Amino acid sequence: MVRLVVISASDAFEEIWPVLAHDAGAELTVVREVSLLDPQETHCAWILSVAGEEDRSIPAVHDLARTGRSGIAVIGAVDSARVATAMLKAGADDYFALPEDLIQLRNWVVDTAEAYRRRQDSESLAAEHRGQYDFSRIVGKSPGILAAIDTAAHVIASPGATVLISGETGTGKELVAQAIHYNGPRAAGPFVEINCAALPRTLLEGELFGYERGAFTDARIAKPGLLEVANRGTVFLDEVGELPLEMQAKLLKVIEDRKVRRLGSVKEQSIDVQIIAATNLSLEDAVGQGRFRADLYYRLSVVPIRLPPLRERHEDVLLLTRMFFEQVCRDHRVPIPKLSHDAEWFLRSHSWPGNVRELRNAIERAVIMRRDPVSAADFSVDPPVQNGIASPFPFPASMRTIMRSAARSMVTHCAGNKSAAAGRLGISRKQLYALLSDPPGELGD
Amino acid sequence: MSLQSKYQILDLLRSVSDLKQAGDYLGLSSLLSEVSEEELLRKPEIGIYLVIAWKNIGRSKSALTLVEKLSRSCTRAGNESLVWRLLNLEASLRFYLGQIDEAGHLWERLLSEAAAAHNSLQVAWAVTNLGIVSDVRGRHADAITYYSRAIVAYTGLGDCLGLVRAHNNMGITYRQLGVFDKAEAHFLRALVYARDIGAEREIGLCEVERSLLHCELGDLPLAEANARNALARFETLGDPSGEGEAYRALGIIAERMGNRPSAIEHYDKALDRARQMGRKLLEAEVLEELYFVHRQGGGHEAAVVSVEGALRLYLEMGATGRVDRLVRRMTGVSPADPPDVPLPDSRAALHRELQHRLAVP
Repeated sequence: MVRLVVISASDAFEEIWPVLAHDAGAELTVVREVSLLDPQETHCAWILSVAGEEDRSIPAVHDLARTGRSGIAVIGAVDSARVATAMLKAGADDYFALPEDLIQLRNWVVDTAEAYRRRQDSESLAAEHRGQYDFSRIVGKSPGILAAIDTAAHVIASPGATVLISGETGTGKELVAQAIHYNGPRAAGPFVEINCAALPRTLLEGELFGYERGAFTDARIAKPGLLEVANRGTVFLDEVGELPLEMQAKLLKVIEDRKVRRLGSVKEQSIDVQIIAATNLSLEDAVGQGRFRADLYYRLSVVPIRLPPLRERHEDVLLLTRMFFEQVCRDHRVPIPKLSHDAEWFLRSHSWPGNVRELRNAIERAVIMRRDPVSAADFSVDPPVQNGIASPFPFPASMRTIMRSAARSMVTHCAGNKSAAAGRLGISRKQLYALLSDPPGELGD
Repeated sequence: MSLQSKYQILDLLRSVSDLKQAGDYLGLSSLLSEVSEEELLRKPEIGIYLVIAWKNIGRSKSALTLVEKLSRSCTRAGNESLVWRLLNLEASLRFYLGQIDEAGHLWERLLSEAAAAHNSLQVAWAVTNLGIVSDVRGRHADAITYYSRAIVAYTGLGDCLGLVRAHNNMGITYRQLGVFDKAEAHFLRALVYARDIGAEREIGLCEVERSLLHCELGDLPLAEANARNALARFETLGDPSGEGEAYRALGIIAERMGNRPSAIEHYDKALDRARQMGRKLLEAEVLEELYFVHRQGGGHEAAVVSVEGALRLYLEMGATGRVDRLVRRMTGVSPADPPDVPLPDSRAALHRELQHRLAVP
C-alpha cells in the first residue's frame, strides 16, 4: 500500500491532506514531528508543512533528507524564490507555497505516488522473472541437459562473455538465455530479443544500430538501436545464422569494440551488453559454405552451449510431462488427469521432432480436450509446419517401431476412430490393435 | 486566486478522476460541459479529462479540437508531462479518425521526445501504438521491432498488462508472417502475465488468437476447444466484443472443418456482436470471411455484398494492409475471376476498433 506522510506542527491546511491522499490513491498518516514515525513503514511521499516557520524549518528538512528518504515536498506560505532555493538546498525535492501552488502540489503528490507504484511493480516483476527463469525450472537429469545447465550457470560469473546456444527448434534456447540474464548481475537491465530471421536486410541495420534524424528518407526522428536499448543488459540474437554477411562484419566490430554508431552519426557510443546468440543451424557448416564469417563464429562461441533434442533425453520425458501437466492443469483450473500405460509408453518412445515445445503442446492439448485418463491417441503428434522435414516417426528405428508409430499417428489423425485409421492404413482392425498394443520394452525401446 | 476557488478546483479534479476511474464517460462529459473553455485551457489538468470523455463517447472531432488547444496552452506553460499525454491522445484520436499517417508522425514525435527524457511509460505507449500502425499498414517487420521495444519498456516499468498486450500483439504479427513457433511462444508469455494479474479479458483474447494459430497449424479440435473456452470466458464477463472475436474464430474453424452452415451461423453471431459494439474492424474481418464462405458455397450475390462491406470499412479506416491482404486472398481463391467490386475512395472514419490494443491514457 502506498502511504502519504504529512509532518505538520500546526493545523494549517489540514483539510487538504485527505484530498491529496485520495487523489494519489494513498493512505494518509499525519504526525506532529518526524521522530513519531515508524521507521519500518515505507512511504511514497513526504510533505513537511512549515507555514509561517519557513526560515526556522530548514534544519528539519535537512534532517528528513539525511535519512535517505526521497519524495520530500515542503509546504510553506511564502511565495519566494529565496525560500524555495533554501529548501531544495536542504534536500527537499520541491517547494510549494499555498494557496497559490495547490494544484501543482496535488499533481506532485499524484505523480510521486505513481512513480513509487511503478518502482514497486518493477521490483516485483524482476523478482517474478528471477523465479520464473531460475535454473531449477529447467527440468532434466540427462547428461546432455545437465552439462548445458552447468555451463549456463557458470556464465553468470562472467557477465561479459559471449555465449552461443545451439539446438533444434523447441529445445529451449531462449529459456536458457533468459535464465542467464535474470540470474546474473545484469538482471536489472533490459533483455532485448532480436530475431535475425524476421527482420529484412533493409531494416536490420537501422534497428540494431539506430539512426539519426535525416539519415535516410524515412528517418523523421532519431532512433536508438536495439543494441543501445540493451545497454547494461543482454542482447539475445536469435537465429544468428540468418544474419546477412555485411551485418556479420558490423556485429563483429561491435563485439570487439563494444561501441555502436548510429546511421548518419559520426559519434560512437560505448555500450555494455552481454551478447547471447542462438542458432538451430550448424554454424560450422555455414562457415564451411562461406555463409557465416569464421571470425564472428569464434567470437560468438566463447561459451558454447548445446541443447540436446528431446529424442536424446528419453529419461527426461516423464519428468517434463509431470511438470507440464501440473503447470497446464493449474492454469486451466482442472485436476491432473491420469496417464494410461500406453500413453506413458508413447511419451517415452515418440521422437518429438518439435522437442520440448511439442511435448508441452501435446500435454496442453490433452488437458484442453478434457481427456481423463489420457491415452496415447490423445496426444497430437502432427509434425510442426515450420520445421521443414519433421516427422512424428522415430528414425532410424526398426520397421516394427515405425509401423507402430504410424498406427498411433493415424489413430490420432482420425480422432480416435480405429476403424477409419485401419482403413486409411490399409490394414485390418486386428492388425491395428496388434500394433497399438505392443507393450513398451518388447521391441527394445 | 482565492484558497476557496483552489479548493473548488481540487474538488472538481477529485470528481472527474473518480468518474474516469468508474468509466462513466457520459457523466464526466456532462460535469465538465459546465466549465468554460477558457477555464479548461487555464487548467489543462481538468481539460484533459473532457478530451478523454469525448473520445470515449464518440465525439472524436470535438475532442481533437480541444486537445489541440490544450496542447498549445501546455506547451506555452512548459508542462512537459501533460504535453506528452495530450500528444498521445491527439495521435490516438487521429488514428480513430482514419488519419493514420498523422497519428504515426505524432507517435514518432512522442517517442523521440520521451526517449530523450528517459520517460519509459511514454516510450512504451508510443512504441506499442507505432507497432499497431505498422501492422495495420501491413509492415509486419516494423511492427515486430516496435513490439520488441515495448516489451523492454514495459518490463522496466513492471507493467504486466502492457506486457500481455505487447506479447499478444507480437504473437498476432508473427502468425501473420507465418512464423508459428514464435507466435506460439509470444502467446504463451502473454498468457503467463495475464494469469499472474488475473486479467480474464486478456486471457480470453489470447485464447482466441491461439485458437487461430492452431487452426493455421491444422489442429482443428484444439483450435475449437480454445475458442470455446474463450467464448465461455467472455460470456461470464459479459463482454460482447470478446464474444464477437470468439465467434469469428469459431466460424473460421468450422469452415476449415468443412461445416459451412455452422461457419455462417458463427459469423452471423460475430457480426451481431461487432455491430452492437461498434467494432468496425471486427465487422470488416467477419464480412471478409463471409465473402469466402459464400463464394465457395456458390452464393455469389451474398459474397459480393460481404466483400463490398469489408472493403468499404477497411478503406474508411485507412487499413491499407488489410485491403492488400483481402485482395491477395481474393485473387488466390479465383485468380481468373476477381469480383468486380467498386472500391470507394473515401478514408472517412477510423473507428474505435483497435482501442483495446492501443496504449492511451
